[in-house]
Amino acid sequence: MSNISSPASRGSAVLHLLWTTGPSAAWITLFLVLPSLYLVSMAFLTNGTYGQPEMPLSVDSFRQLAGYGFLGWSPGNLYTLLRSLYYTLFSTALTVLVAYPIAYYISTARPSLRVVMLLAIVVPSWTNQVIRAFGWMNLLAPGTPISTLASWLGLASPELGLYPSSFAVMLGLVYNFLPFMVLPLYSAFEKLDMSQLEAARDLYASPLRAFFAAILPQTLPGLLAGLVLVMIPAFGMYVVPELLGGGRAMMIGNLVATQFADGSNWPYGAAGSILMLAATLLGIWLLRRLGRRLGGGEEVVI
Amino acid sequence: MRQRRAHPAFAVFWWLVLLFLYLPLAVVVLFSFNAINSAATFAGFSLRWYVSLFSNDAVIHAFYNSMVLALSSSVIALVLGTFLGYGLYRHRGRRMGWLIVLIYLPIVMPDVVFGISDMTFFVRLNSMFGILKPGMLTMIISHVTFELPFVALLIYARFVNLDAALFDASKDLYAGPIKRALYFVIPAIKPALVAGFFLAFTLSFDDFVISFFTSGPESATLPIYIWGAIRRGISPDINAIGSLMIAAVLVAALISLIFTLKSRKREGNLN
Amino acid sequence: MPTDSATREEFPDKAAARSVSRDASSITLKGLSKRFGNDVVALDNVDLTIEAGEFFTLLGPSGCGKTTLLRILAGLDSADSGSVEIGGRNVTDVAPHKRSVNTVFQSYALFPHLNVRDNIAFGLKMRGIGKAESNTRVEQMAASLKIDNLLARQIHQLSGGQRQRIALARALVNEPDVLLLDEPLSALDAGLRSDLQVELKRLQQRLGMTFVFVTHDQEEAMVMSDRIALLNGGSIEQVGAPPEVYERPRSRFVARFIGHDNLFPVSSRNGYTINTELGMLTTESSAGGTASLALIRPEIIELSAPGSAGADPTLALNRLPGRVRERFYRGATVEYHLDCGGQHIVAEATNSGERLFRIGDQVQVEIYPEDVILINE
Repeated sequence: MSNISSPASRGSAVLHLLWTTGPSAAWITLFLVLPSLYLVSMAFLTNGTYGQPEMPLSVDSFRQLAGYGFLGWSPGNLYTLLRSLYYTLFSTALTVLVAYPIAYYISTARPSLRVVMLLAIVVPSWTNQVIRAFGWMNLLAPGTPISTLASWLGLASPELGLYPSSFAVMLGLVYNFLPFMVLPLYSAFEKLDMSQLEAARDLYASPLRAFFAAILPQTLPGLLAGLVLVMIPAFGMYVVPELLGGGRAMMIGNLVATQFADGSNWPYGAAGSILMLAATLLGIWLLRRLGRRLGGGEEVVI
Repeated sequence: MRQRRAHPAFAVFWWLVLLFLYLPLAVVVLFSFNAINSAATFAGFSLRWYVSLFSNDAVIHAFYNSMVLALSSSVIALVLGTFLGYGLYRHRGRRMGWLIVLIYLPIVMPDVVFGISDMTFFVRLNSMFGILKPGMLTMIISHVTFELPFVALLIYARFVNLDAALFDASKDLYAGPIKRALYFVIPAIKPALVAGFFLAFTLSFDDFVISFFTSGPESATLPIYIWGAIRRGISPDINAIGSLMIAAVLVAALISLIFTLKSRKREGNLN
Repeated sequence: MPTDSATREEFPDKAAARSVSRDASSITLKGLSKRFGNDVVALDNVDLTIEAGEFFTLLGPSGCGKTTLLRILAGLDSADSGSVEIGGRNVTDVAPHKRSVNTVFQSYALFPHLNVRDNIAFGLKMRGIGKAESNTRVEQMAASLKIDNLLARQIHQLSGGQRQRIALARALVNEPDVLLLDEPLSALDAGLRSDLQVELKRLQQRLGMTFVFVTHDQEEAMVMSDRIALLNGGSIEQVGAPPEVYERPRSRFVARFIGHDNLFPVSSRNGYTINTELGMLTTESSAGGTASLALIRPEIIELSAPGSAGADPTLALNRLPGRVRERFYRGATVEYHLDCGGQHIVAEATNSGERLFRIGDQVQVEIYPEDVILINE
C-alpha cells in the first residue's frame, strides 16, 4: 500500500521529494557535476603559456595523451596506461587469492569472534593511507631487514632495496584494498551452504575441484562486489604509486595529476581525466554486466 | 548453524596476513620512539620526536585544520545526507535513476579526477568572480560532497530496517509533523546519525588526495603536512604523528567493537 | 487479561462517561472511493454506518479494500471521494494526529527506541498530557491488561502476545472514540489467538467502545463481532450480524467466503419447487421472485440408511440418494463428502455415538424445505 500516505496530494509529494533530496542533489550538481563538465570541456581547449586552458578549441590534448609530442610519437603514455592496467589486474588477482582463505577462515570462527576478526582486517585501512605507504617505505627501503633478505635471495639489488619499485606499488595496492575484498567475500561465505561443499568434497575429492564446483559459484556475488570495490579505485590510485613507485612506476592518476601540479598543462591533464572517467565507467559497466550474466548482479552494490 | 572447522593451515595463513597488515604500522610506531634519526636502525627508546612534535607550529596548525575541516564538513554532510536518506526512503517507490547516479558519482569517481575537477572549477570561479579562493572553504565544500552519499546511504539503510507502520503509528498517536521528527524519527535513527557523523569525520580526517588538490597555502591538513614532509625527505617526527593517528584509530576501533557487541546483544532477538 | 469484576473497578467512570458520549463514537461513511494508480480500485463507492459501541468487523480476502477502509478511518490514507463522519463530525480532511481514533497495527508498530512504558505513554505525551496524569493512566491501563510487570522492558525482550497487549494498551490509554484493529491477531499462533479473541471481545463489551476490526478469518469475525461487513473488490457485499451472514448469505461470494461449499445453480423456479443440478428441491416459500443459487448448509443435512423413513414427513419432500466418497472424522462432528447423482455435496453430522457411515455406503440425503437457502444474484 502507499507509503506516501495521509492527505498528501501528488503535488505535495513532489514538494516533499524536492525539499528532502533537492539540497543534496543541488550540492553534488554544483560542486561535482559542474566541475567535472568544466574539466571535460577543458580537454578541448588549447594549452596557454602558463598552463591555463585557452581558446581556440583543439584536440591537441588528446594527441598529446596518445603520445604525439614535439619529437613525434613516443610510447611513454601508452606504457603508463598499460602499466596502470597491469598493476590493477595483478594486484586485484593477488588480493582475491589472499582474501578467499581469509574470508573463509573468518566465517568458520565463533560468531562473537568474527566481529573481532573482521575489525582486525579493517582497522589498518582506517589509518591514513599516506602513513600506511610511509610504513612500507620504511620497511622496504635499502638496508632494512626485508630488503637485505630479498637481496640475499637475489630478488633485489642491495643498493636499491625493494623500494621504490613496481613490486612496492603492487604490494601497496594489495595492502590498501585487501579489506574491501575480504568484507564482501566474508558475507558471501556467511551465507554459504556448507552441505554443498561437503557434497562436492564427496563427489570430486580434490579441494581445488570442490572449490570450483561448490564455493566459487556461491561466493560469486561477493567476489564481484569485491572486484568493483578493489579494481575501480586501484586503477585511479594516486598516493601509492607516487610514494612507493618513486617516479618509475607511475600510474595514470599520477600522469594526470602531474599536469596540474608541476607540468601545468591543464588541457592535457583534462584529457587524461576523461580517460580515467571512461575507464571507471567502463569497468563498472563490465562488472555489472558480468554480474547479471552470472546471476549475482543484485548483490553488486554499485 | 553447525560450526564449521577450518584446516589448521588457514590459521597459519591468517596470522601471516595479520602480520602483513600490521607490520607497516608497527614499524611506524617503533621508529617513533627511536633515539636517533634513522628509519633503518633502532638505537634506543626516546620520546624526543613527540616532544619536538608539540613545539612544531606547522604540525599543530595542520592538526587544527584537519579538525576544523572534519568537524564542519561532517556536520554539513550529516544534515544534508539525513534529508537525502529520508527522501530516498519515503520516495523509494519512484524511479529516481538520475538521483541514484548523482549519489553514486562521488563514490565511484577516482579521487584524483574528483580533486582536480573541483580545483580547476574553484580556481576558475575565483579568477572570474573573486569567490571560492582555494583554502579551508573550498576543502569543506569538496569534503561535504564526498561524505554526503555515505551518510545518506547509512541513513537510508536505517529507515529501510524500520517497520514502515511506525510512521503511521506516530501519526495515529497524535504526533504532528514536528513532534514526529523530534520524538520518533530522530530517536529512531539515532544510531545511524551517530555512525554517519563518525564515518563522515573519519573519511574527512583520512582524506589526502581531494584535500591536496582543493587546499590553499594556509589550509594544509595533517595528511598534507605528512605528505610534504615525506617528499622533503624522511623525518622521524612523521613516525610520531603517524603513531598518534594509529593510536586514535585503535581507540576508535575499540569503541566501535564495544558498540557493535552491545547493539548485537540488544537487537539480537529482533533480527 | 482481567476478569470482569476486576476491570469494572479499573474503569469505574468510563462506562458511564461513554454512555453519555455514545454518539461521539458512531461512524458514517458516504460514497467512499479510493484508487491506487489508475488500475487498482481499493474502494468503490462505499456507504456504511457503524453504531456507537459496536464490535464491527471488516471481513474479506486480501486486496478487498478492508485495510484501506481502516486506514481512511484512521486518516492515514485519504479517499478520492466521499466523506467520513465520526460522532456526527465530518473528519474527511482531518489529519490522523487530530482524530480521536487509535489503531492497533498488524505488526504492532511498537517504537523500538522506547521501552514499554514510554510506548504506552507516547500518545499522551504527544497530546501534552502532564507527566503525573500520564503515569497514572499508563499504570492503570497496564494493570487492567495485566502487563504492569512489563513496563520497564525493552520491546525486543517481549513475546508476540505481550507485544499485542502493549499495542492495545498504547491505543486504549488515549481513550479514543473508536479503536481500529488491523488484523491484530494474525501474527500469533492458534492457541493464543483464540484466547485473545475472547479477551478482546470481553474488553470491548466492558469498555462499550466502538471497535472496528479487520480480518480475513471468517471464524474470528463470527466469534467476535456484533456485525460483519463483507468486502469484495472494494465494495460491500453484505452487512449483518454473524448468524445473518452465515445463515442467509446474499451472494455467492459471501456464501463461499463464509465457508459454504454446497452451492447449486438454480435453472428454474416454479412455486415452491426449484430445479437444480442436484435435482428438484422443495423450498419453504414461493415468494421472492427468481433465484440463481441454492445453498444447503452441511450441518442441516440429515443422513440415514436407504429405505429408513424419518419421523418428520416434511423431510421426505427433499430426499436424495447418495454415496459416501470421503469421510473426515473431526471428533464432535464427522464430515462426509457425498456423491448425489453426480453432484458433490458435503454433509456434517453430529457424532452422536451411533455407527458412522463408511466410504462406499449408500445413504439417504434429506433436507428440510426451510433449510434450502436461495441466493438471488
